[in-house]
Amino acid sequence: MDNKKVVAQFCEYYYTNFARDRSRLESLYVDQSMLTFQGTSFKGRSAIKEKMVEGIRFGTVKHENMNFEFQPFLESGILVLVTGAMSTDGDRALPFSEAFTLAKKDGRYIIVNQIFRFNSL
Amino acid sequence: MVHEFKVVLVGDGMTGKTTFVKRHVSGEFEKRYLATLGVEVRNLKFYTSAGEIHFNVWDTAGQEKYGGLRDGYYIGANAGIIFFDVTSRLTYINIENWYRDLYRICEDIPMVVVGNKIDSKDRRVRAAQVRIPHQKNLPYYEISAKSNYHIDLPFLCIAQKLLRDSTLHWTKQPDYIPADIVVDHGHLRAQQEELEKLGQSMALPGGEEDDWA
Repeated sequence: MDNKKVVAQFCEYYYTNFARDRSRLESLYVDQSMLTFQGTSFKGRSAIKEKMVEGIRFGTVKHENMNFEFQPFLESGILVLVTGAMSTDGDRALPFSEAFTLAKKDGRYIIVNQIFRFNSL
Repeated sequence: MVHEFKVVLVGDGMTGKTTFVKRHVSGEFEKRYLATLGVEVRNLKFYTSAGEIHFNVWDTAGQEKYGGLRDGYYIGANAGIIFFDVTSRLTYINIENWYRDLYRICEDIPMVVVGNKIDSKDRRVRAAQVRIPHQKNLPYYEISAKSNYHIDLPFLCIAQKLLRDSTLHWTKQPDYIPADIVVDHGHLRAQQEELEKLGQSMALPGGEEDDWA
C-alpha cells in the first residue's frame, strides 16, 4: 500500500473515531508513543488512552476544512501534518494543527509522535 | 468619565460562563469574535455611583475543555471570574487550577469565584463544602445564570475592588435578558439562607476589607 493510501486511511480512522469513540484509538499507540495535547505531554499507550478517554471531556465533535499533507522518512516513517477546524458540543469551530509521525511495527502502522494545538488561545 | 477594564472568565467547560455573560443585555449589542484568538469579547456597561464602567468581558470559544488556556488570554486582565457548576464536583475541584493559571499571569488582580446553576435540584457541591474560595481569600457568589439570580453581584464586587470604593453601587439596575426558566424562589432562598448561616460571606458587596494594592 502506498503512503498516500496509508495516510488517507489513517486520517479517516483517527478522526472518525476521535469523534465517535476515542477508546478505539488505543490500538494505534505503543509504549514508545508520545502525545502532546495543548502543551501537556503523555507517553505510552495507557497514559495516552487515559487522556483520550477520560481526560478529554466533551460530547459531540465535528471536524471541518480538513487538509492532510505528508512526507516519508527513513524506511517506513511517515510525517503527517493535519490542519483543520474542530467544534465540540455545538461550540464555534476552532482552527487547529496536528502533526503525527507514523511508523511500521510488527507489520502495522502505529503512531510514534503526535502533537495537537489549537491555533487560537 | 468612563472606566474600562478587561475581565476574563475562566472555569471548566459547561459551567455556564457564556450563559452568564449573555444575560447582560448591553453586551449583546457590542460583542466581537476575535477569530485568530478564539475569543468572544463583550462590552458590558454598568452605571455606578463612581461613574460609568465598561467591562470588556473575555469568553473562550470552548477551548478550555481541552486543557489550560494560553497566556494571551490572561495577559492584560484587570479582573477574573472563576466559575464552577454546583452540580459537578469535578468543576469545583478544578477551580484550584484556574486560580493558579490566572494568578501565574495576573497575580493580585481582583478575582471572584462563582458557583453557578443553583437553580438545579441536583446540587452536588453544598454550600458548606465550598472551601476553596475561603482558603484563597476570594469572594464567593452563588448564582443561577439561567434565572438571572444574583448575576450582577460578581461585577459589582469587581467594580468595588477596581475603583477601591466599597460603597460603590448601581445607579441604574443592569438590563437582563428574561430568565430562561421559571424561578423557584423558595429553592433559591433556601440555598441563600444556608450560605448565610455558614457566615462565610455571600461576600455581600461592601463587606470586604482586603486591599488589592
